[in-house]
Amino acid sequence: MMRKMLMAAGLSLAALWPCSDVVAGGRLHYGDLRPEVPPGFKPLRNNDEAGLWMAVDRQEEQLEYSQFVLRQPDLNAYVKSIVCRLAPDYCSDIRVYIVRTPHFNATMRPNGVMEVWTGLLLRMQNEAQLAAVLGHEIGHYLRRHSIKNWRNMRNTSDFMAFLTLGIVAAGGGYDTAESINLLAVASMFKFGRDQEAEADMFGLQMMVHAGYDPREAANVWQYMLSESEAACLSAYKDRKLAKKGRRALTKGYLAKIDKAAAKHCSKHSRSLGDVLFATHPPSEDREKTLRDTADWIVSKESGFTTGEKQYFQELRPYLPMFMQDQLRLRDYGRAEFMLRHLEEEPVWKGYGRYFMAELLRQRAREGDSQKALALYEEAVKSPDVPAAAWRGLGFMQLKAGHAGAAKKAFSTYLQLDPDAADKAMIEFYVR
Amino acid sequence: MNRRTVFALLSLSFVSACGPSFSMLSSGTTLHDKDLTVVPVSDWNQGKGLPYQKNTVMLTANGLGVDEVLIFAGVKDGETLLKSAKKLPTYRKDMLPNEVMELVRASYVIQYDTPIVNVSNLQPTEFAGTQGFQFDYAFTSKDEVKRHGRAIGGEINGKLYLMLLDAAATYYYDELLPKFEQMAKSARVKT
Repeated sequence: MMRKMLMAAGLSLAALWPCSDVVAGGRLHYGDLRPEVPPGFKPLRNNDEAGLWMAVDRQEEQLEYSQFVLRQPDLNAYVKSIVCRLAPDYCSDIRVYIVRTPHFNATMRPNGVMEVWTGLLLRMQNEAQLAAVLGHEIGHYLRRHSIKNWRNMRNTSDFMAFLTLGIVAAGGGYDTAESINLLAVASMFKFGRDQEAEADMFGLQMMVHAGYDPREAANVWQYMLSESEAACLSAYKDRKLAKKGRRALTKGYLAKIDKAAAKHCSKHSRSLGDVLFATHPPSEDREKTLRDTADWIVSKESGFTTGEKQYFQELRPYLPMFMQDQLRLRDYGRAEFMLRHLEEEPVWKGYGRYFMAELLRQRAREGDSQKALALYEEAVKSPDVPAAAWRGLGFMQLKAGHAGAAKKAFSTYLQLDPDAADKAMIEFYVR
Repeated sequence: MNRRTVFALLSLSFVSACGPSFSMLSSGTTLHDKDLTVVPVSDWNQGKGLPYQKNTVMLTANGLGVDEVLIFAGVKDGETLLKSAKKLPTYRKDMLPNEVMELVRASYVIQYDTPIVNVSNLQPTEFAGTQGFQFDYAFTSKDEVKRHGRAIGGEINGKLYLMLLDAAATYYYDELLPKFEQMAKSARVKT
């Protein structure tokens, strides 16, 4: 019965997807990949997969009550609609949880639980890019990568090492079985090179079928590589400046740091390190394979969409919160990179300037204060800024010794937000 | 005693010397932390060998993870509040009380890997005989336990002196807050 369902699902998808072609570089066949999970799949009670499902079902119970999960119906419905557009036959099998964490990631459990992190939503430039990442995750699910990993691991000597580790961890006060379960679950999601490449191609198939521009998948990787490089450059510069102190900040020295940072970070950019999917194929190879395949697809088909307008319309109410969470990580290079990408969005201009001013005020490198002051002044001219922009302007005026201007800015802040959490202190500044 | 036993005992003594330990800090006993003194009005356990900066005293009434008081005695320009392998923001001596509040918040966000850290009620208050500030905070780390916190401190001689209480929001925070406030009122800094 299950096999019949699987074949039916595979055939129906096969009928919709384009014919296969050999991708440049050779091993993978775009269009050849079929789901290995039938819609509505549940494991048999007496096999090993049921045990794994039990462990991940328990994780889902935690997610259902987690304070980190965003419950807003409109945002959840939007993300779910993209999942359903990508994999309509599996729409009811995949349960999306949007998790408030500012890092870039999405995960998929074998029982159909998909976690989408808010850091991912903040970074995507359009709906097609989000579809690329979600499609990749659905690819892992439909190709049963987790259970394959589990079975593979059980059949190798790694299993004993993993069991030992579980028992050692249990000695630390945890329940043994629970520790083993947790480790088992964690190990299932370390996908191998081939599995990642396969999920990439499957994701691309789903994108094309749903009408999304497949080139956006490669653009996700290009964005992440550039973001990682920007973070590296900034962190390198901050380390050097912290060592040297402000006395050494001549133009010549700064140019020297920039050159050294560029050299250091060119090596770094070849791998995304701990940013995401550390076990994936090298990011640049992956980007190239995706781009070559997408170029080939668009040379044969047209009419794809990126859904940029729709994406910002849906995400707009949430972007300030997501960006604020990112800024609080104090990863200035990364946040600055994201703000530069967002600044062209017309609905984001006031917020963009406000956040950039906040970043500069907190980073406080030589010259940042003046730039922050100028940006706050520009930001408060926009109708879409939070009251806190006036407060930031007040801080910078106060530090610059402009007591009158500071007082005016703080008064506006309190007029706009009369119940501000720092009202008593703000009133104290201007007393 | 053979060589193996000696080695085992030596290793144990090494481990016990370097691991965390606790000693009783009785009510009314003056606690010295660098140039800061406070006098608690209730009994606390003082932690030693824990991963905090040298200028930090850690006290707990009911145990780690339930409640903690952190006393930072003179954070200098360029230093972090907490000790971490992660890159934490540093204190700057030109910081306004709002910015110290942001510093505490960002330190918690990074250290406890959680975006759920909220701050409120920032207001001026007297601290160690000088003009200081206080604020409340609430955070949830990955264990999903809601914790509430109170911060009281001030900048003295270009250094940040700060006391934090954070405790499980259910029962423990309300129980300890008056005791913490009294201890904070007793704070003195040698100038």
